[in-house]
Parts: sequence; structure tokens; C-alpha cells
Amino acid sequence: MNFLVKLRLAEKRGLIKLLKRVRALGRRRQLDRDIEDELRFHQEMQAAEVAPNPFGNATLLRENCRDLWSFTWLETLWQDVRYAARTLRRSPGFTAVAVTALGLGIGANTVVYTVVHSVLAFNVGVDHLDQIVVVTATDAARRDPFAQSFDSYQDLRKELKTIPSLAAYRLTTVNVSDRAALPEQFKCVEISANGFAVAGTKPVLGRDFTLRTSAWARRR
Amino acid sequence: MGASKDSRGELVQGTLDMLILKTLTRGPQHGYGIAQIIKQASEEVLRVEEGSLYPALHRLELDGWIDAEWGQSANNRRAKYYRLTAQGRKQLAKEAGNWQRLARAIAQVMEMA
Repeated sequence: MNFLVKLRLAEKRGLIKLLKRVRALGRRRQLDRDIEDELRFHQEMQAAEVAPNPFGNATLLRENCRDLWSFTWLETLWQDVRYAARTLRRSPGFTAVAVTALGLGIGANTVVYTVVHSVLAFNVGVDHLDQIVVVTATDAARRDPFAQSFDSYQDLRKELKTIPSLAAYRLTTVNVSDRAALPEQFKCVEISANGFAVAGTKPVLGRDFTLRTSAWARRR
Repeated sequence: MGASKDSRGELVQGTLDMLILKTLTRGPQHGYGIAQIIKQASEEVLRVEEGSLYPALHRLELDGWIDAEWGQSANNRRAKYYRLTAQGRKQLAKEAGNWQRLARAIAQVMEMA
């Protein structure tokens, strides 16, 4: 089987280098022996000189050479994993306690998140919730979010070309009463005329606003 | 690391690879032989220590600029012989060009009146 892959020269060299190292992984003992033989040959040739230089730290040099060929951190990691497995097998009591504790912890955590998620993730009745963002401004000095004026809302609507639609809202309370009952206070949201359009939803009761019915539009 | 601590023999950073490749243009050679050739050709000014020579050789081998093969040394010992590859030859030409440009530039500054 042939792979039809066109590689850039640098990638090809990197790949060849990787292949050489992977191949060396399979014959580590041979590699160790080769490095040792090579360095011993040098050492002996050097020792036979008339005024021989002392040979440096042979062990360190051997390791430096070997590291070039091996995946040192990966091999160390593998050794650590095997050591951990051996240790756990030797003390089954500790292993059982550790596994049970972890199991209970993970289980409890999962339960809490599942419950909270199903309780909080109620349907807010808005389409494309993931596309809706709230724009606020923050006072840099006080690190305090503050309310936007209606003028800046109008400016934003004009300037923000990347946002298809922008609606304004504010939280407030209203008193509602009719002839039969005592007046009651409600928390409510006031939105601009296009609010339902931006949210992609329809009022449950009554009709949607249009720009024509908007008080702001009528005023101009 | 680099070459000998003796300031006379200190190699300019990054020139060891070039010197090794250049040495191998004379034919296959083992590590000890390469060090000897560099020492003799530089009239004993450049001494390449094994601590930097062998990591460099293995790196060059991994890069594919040199190839290695076990063979018999002159005194009938098993030795690892390195050989320049076609890619290594190209790399040498590139490094030699850079070196000449650099050496000329340094010379010009030093000859400044």
C-alpha cells in the first residue's frame, strides 16, 4: 500500500527522524551496546596517545547520546505507571479504599451536576439562546457595570454592523391592579419594540409590538 | 560544553556540525578519526571533546546528514564509521556559505581604521 502524501522537505526530515527513533525503540539493547562500543573505542584510542587527554564523564555522555534516540519522558511516564500498578497490587486494602473513595466522590459530583442541570436548564422559550448576548459597559475605574442610556442604545444600533439586531431591556417593578382585587407588585422586564423579534419568540398573550406602536417611534 | 575549555581551542557556537560534515568529505571516518583530523587540520588549535562530538554525530545521523555503519578500524577493531549523505553535502554547502559571509563581515569590522 502506498500513501500519496506530498510532504514539505522539513516535514519529511522530521518524519524520517521520528521513524529512526521508533525503530531504535524496538532495539534498545542494541542501541545501548552500540553507543557503549563506540565510546569505548574512542576512549581506548585516546588512551593510546602519547599525551592522552582525560576522557570526560562517560556515563553522562552515554546518556546524552541515548536521549537523542529515545522518547525519554514518555518512557519515564510508562515506568511510573507500571510502578504505580505494581504498588497498588501489593496493597489491595489500600487500593480498595482509594477506589471506593474516588468512586463515591465522582458519583456524588455527577449526581449534583445532573440534578442542578435538569433543574436550572428550564426552557426559557427563546430560540438560538447560544446566539444571544448581553452588552454591558463597565466603569474601568470602579470595575462596575452600569446601565446604558437610550442614546447609546441608538448609537450602538447604528454602529454595530456585525450584530444583526439589538434590543434594549431593563428590569423594573410594576403595580398591577383591577377593580376586583388589591393591586399587586410584579417584577418585570421592559423591552424595546424589537425585543420579541430579537429573542425569536412571541408573546403568550396579546399581540407583539411593532415599531409603529412603540412610544418612542410615535414621539418622533 | 563546546570544545576544550582552553580558550585557544574554543569552537565558535554552531560550527562543530559544519566541521564534522567538512571532515567527512574526505571519506567515511569514525568519531575518534574525525576529532583527530580536526585537531591536525587546525594545527592543534581546535580540540573537539568527546562530550560534544558524539551527541553532535548522533544528532546529525538522526537529521539524515550523515549515515553510520559498523566497520573495521585500521587496528582491526570494530568501529562506527560515519559517511556524508547527499543531504549532508547540501547542508555543508549552506553552512559553509553562511560561515564565509560571517567571517568576512567580522574581518571587515576588525580591519576598520
